[in-house]
Amino acid sequence: MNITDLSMADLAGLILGFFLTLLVFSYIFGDNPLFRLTIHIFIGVAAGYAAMVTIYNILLPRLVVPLFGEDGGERLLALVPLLLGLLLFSKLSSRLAMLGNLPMAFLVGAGAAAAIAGALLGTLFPQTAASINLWDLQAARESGTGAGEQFINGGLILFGTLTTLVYFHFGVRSRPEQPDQRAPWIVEASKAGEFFIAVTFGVLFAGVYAAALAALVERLSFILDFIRTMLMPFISS
Amino acid sequence: MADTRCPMCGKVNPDDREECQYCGARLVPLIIEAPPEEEGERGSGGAAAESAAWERGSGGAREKETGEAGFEEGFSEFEAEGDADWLSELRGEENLPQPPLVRGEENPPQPPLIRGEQSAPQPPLERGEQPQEAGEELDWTAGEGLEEAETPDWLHELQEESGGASEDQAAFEDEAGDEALDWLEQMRQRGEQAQQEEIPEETPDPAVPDWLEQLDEEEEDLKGFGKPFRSEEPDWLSEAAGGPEDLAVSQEIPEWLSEISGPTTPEEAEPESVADEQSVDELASDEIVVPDWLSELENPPQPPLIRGEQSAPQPALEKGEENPPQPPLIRGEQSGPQPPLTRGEETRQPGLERGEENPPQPPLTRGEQSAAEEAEPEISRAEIPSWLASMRPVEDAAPPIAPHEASIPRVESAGPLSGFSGVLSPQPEVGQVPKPPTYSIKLQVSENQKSHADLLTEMLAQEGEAQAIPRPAMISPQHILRSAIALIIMLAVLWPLITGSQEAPLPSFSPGTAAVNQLINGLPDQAQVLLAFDYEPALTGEMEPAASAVVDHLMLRGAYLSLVSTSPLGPIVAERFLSTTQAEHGYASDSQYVNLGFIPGGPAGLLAFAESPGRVLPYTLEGNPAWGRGGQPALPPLQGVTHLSDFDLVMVITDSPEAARTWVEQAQPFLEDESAQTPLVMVTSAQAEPLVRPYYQPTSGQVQGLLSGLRDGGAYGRLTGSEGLTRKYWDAFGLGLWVAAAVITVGGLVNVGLGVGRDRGWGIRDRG
Repeated sequence: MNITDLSMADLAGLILGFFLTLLVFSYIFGDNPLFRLTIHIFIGVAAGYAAMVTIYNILLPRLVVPLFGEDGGERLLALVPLLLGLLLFSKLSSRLAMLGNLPMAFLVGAGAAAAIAGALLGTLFPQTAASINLWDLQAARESGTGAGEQFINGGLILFGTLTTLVYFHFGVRSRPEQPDQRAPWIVEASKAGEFFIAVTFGVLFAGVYAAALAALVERLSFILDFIRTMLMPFISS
Repeated sequence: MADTRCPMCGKVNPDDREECQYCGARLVPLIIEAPPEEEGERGSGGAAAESAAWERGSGGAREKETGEAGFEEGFSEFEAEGDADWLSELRGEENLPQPPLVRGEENPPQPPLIRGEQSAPQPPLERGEQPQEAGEELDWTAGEGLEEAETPDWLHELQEESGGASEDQAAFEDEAGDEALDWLEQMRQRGEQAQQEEIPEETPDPAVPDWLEQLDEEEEDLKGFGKPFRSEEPDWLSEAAGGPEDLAVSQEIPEWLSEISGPTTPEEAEPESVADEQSVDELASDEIVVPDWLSELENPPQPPLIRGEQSAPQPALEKGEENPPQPPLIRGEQSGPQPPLTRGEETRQPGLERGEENPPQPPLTRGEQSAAEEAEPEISRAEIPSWLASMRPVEDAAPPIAPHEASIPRVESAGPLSGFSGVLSPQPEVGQVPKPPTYSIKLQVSENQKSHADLLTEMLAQEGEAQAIPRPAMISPQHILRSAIALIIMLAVLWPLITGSQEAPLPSFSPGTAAVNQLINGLPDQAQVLLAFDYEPALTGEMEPAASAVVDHLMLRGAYLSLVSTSPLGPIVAERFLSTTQAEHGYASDSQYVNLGFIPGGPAGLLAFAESPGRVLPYTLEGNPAWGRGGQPALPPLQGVTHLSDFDLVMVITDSPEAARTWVEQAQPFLEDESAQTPLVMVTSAQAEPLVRPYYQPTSGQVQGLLSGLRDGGAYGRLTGSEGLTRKYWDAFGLGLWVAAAVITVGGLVNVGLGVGRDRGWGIRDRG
C-alpha cells in the first residue's frame, strides 16, 4: 500500500483509524478518558449509521413510497404499519402509554410465535433426531465411517448429553425423617455431566480467545501497515 | 317574740319576714305539710307494728316521733319567752368568728363501725338527723325547766334548725310522752346510781343494753366536767373527754379539723382560737353546772326520725348483741372527714346490714366534742414501712385533692332552699374529677446501658457519614501483571508481523471445510448465492480472513451475490468486505452483486424474508428496485428468484451463535424444496463454533458446511490456493496462541507454587 495511491478520504480514514486504535489500546493500562472517548465515538457513529440505514432502507422504501404511490392497495396496507408505528410513540407519554399496547402486543406476539416455532422445528426436534441417529450404524457405513468409530462417537456424544442433562436435574427425593438428597446415581452422573460442561466451557473460552487474538493480530497488522505506509516515502527516498 | 333571729347571720329580723334582710337566708323553712292521719300512720302505726323488739329498748319509733314533737313544743315555749340572757350571750358568741365548720361538717372523723360496735362520740348531727329523741327533750325542757344561760350554742343551733318542724310534729306529742318518760327516768336513775356508787368497774347488767350503759357513762362524764375522769372509763372515752386541762388545750385545732378547714394562716386561726377558748372556758369552768337536761340530752335511745321518714324495719336486738363499747382508735388510724349528712339521710354506719339502723349514739356536748378534737392529735401518725412506701403509686406525688374541697357541704344561698346546707349540688360528682395519675417518663439507665447507647449512637453517626473512597494506586500488582501479559502477547504477535514471517504451515482442512469446498465446486455457473453478513465490525479482523477464501472461491466461480444482513451494520460491513478483501475481483454492484440491506424484525423478519424475499427487501441499499418493478426485470443476482430456495447456495457469515441459530431455525426449513435442496453453509467465528457445530453434524443435516475462524479460513485458502489474509496473519496468530497457552500455563503453575508455599509457611502472604 502506497500513500500516494490513497485518496484523501482513505488517508483520513487511515489516520483516524490509527489513532483510534491506539486510544483503544490504552485500556491496557486501565480505564482512562481516551479509551472512553473512543468508545463513545464508536457508539455514536454506529447508532447514527443504524438510524440512517433504518430510514433509507426500511421507512422510505416500505412506508413512505407505498403511501404516496399509485397503487391503492399498497396505500391501504401501508396505513397499518403507519398507525401501529404512531401508536408506539404513545409509549413516550405515561398518560397515553396504554395506546401503545396494541403494537407492542403485536410485536411481542409475532416475535414469540416465530421464535418458539423456530426453536421447536429448527432445534429441538432436529437435534433430538440427530442424537438418535448417532446410533444408526447402517447410515454410518454408507457415509464411510466405521461402525466402531461411529459407535464410540455416538456413545460419547450420548453419554455427554445425558450426563449434562442429569447435571441440570436438581430434583430430590423426600423421605420421612431423612434429609432431602439426590439419588446416588444422579449424583455420579451429574459429576460426569459436570466434566463435559467444563470441557464445553474450555472450548468456548478457547474460541473466544482465538477470535480475540485474531482481531488483535489484524489490528497490530493495521498499525504496522499504517506505519509502513507513512514511513515508506521517507525510507524509499 | 316580735323578732326572728336569722339562723345564718344571727341578726334580728322582723317576725313577718321569711328571709333575712341582711344575708337573705330563709328564716321560715319550707315544709310540706302532710295530712295528720298519714303522718300518724307513718309514725305510729307502721313503725310500731314492725319494730316491737326495738320498742322494748328504746321506746319504739312512735315514741321517737312524739318525742321530737315534744321537743318542738318545748322549744316553742322556749322561743316564746323571748331572748333570754344566756341565749343572747350564746348568740353573741355565735357572732364571734367561728371555726370554719360548716353545718354538716361537724362530724368528726369516725372509724368504721362494725356490727355490734358502739359508734364513737359524734358531734351534733344535722337537722332531721338528731340522734336524740324529741320526747326526751320535751321531758327535760318541761320537767326541769330550761335555763337559757346554760344552753350551749350547738343546742341553740339545733333548736333553730328544728323549729320549723314543731307544728307538724306537735300532733305526736300526746302519744309520745308517757312511755318515753318511763325509760328516760329509768336511765336517769341508773346514771345517778352509778355516780353515787362510783364503782370502778361496772359489771354489765344483762338486762340493760350496752348502749344504755354507755349513755350512763357519758352522763357521768358530762357531770364530771372540770373533774378528773375515772380511770375505769374506756380509753376512747378518756381520750375524747379529757379533763379541764385538756379542754383548755382543745383550742388547738386537731388535725382532721385542719384538713377540713384547709390551711389556715395564723391570722385566720387567731379569732377562731379566741372564740373557741372562750366557749371552752365557759364550759370547762367550775361555775358551769351541767343541767340535767344536758345529761338527758346525751342519752337518747334513738335518733329522731325526720319528717317524712319512716323508721326502717329494725331487727330485734338481742341481749348481748347490743352495741358494745366502741374501742378506741387504733394508733395510727385516722378517721377521715365524713361527708356531710344531708337532710333526709340517715347516719348509716358501715358494717351495718341493710335494714339495720344505726345504734343509738350519744350526742356529744361541746365539751366532748372539744375533747375529742383535742384527743385526735395524740394519735400519732402511723409510719409507713419503707417497702410499703416504695410500692406507693406515683399519683401520691401528685397534689391530692384538698379534703375540705370534697367535704365542705354546699350551702344554698338563693332560691327556696336558701340557707340549707348539704343540698345536693346539680353536678358535684361530675365536677370533681380526680387528677389523673402522673407517671414519670424519665428513663432509668444504668452506666453500662448508657455506655452501650453512646456506642450505638456513635456507630449510627458514622454510618451516615460519607466514607472517602480510597483512590486506587496508579501502579498496582494487577496493573503490572496485566501490562506484562499484554506486552508478552503483543510482542509475540508483532514479531511475525514485523519480520514478515510466513513459515508456519497452514492448517489442514476439516470435514466442514471440505464440505463447503465441494458445495461451491458443485455450483453451476453464474449461480445465485445469498450471502448474509451478520457480524459486527469489531470482529472483522477474524471474519474477513475466515470468509475471504470462500468468497474468493465464489467469485472465481462467477457466482452472483446477494448481500443481506440481520444487523443494521451488516450492509456496510459487507460493502467493506467486498471492497477490501475482494477488490481484485472488481465485482460491480447491481450487476454482479446486490446489497439488499438490513432485514428488520429479528427472527420474525427473517422468517418473512425466508417466505418472500422480494416483499421484505424490495430495494437495494442504494434504493433501487431489486426484484423488478413496472415491467423492469430484476437485477441479475435476483433474476428468477422468488423464494429462498431459489438460491443456489445460502452462506451465513456470522460471529454470533444466536444469529447462526436464527438462520437455521427460520430460514433452513424454507431451503428444502420438493425438487432440490438449497445447501446452507456457515462461516462463523471461532467463539461461535461450539454452539453451531451441532447443526452441522451429518446426522442433523441442517447445515451442510461449516468454516470457523482463522483456522478454517486458512485451511480453505490452502484448498483453493488463495491463502491471502490467512497467510499473513497465520504466523502471528499461531505464535500468539502458543504464547498465550504458555502464559496461562506458567500463571497456573505460579499460583500452585504460591499455594503450596503458603501452606508450608514459606513466608508468602495471603492475597488481599
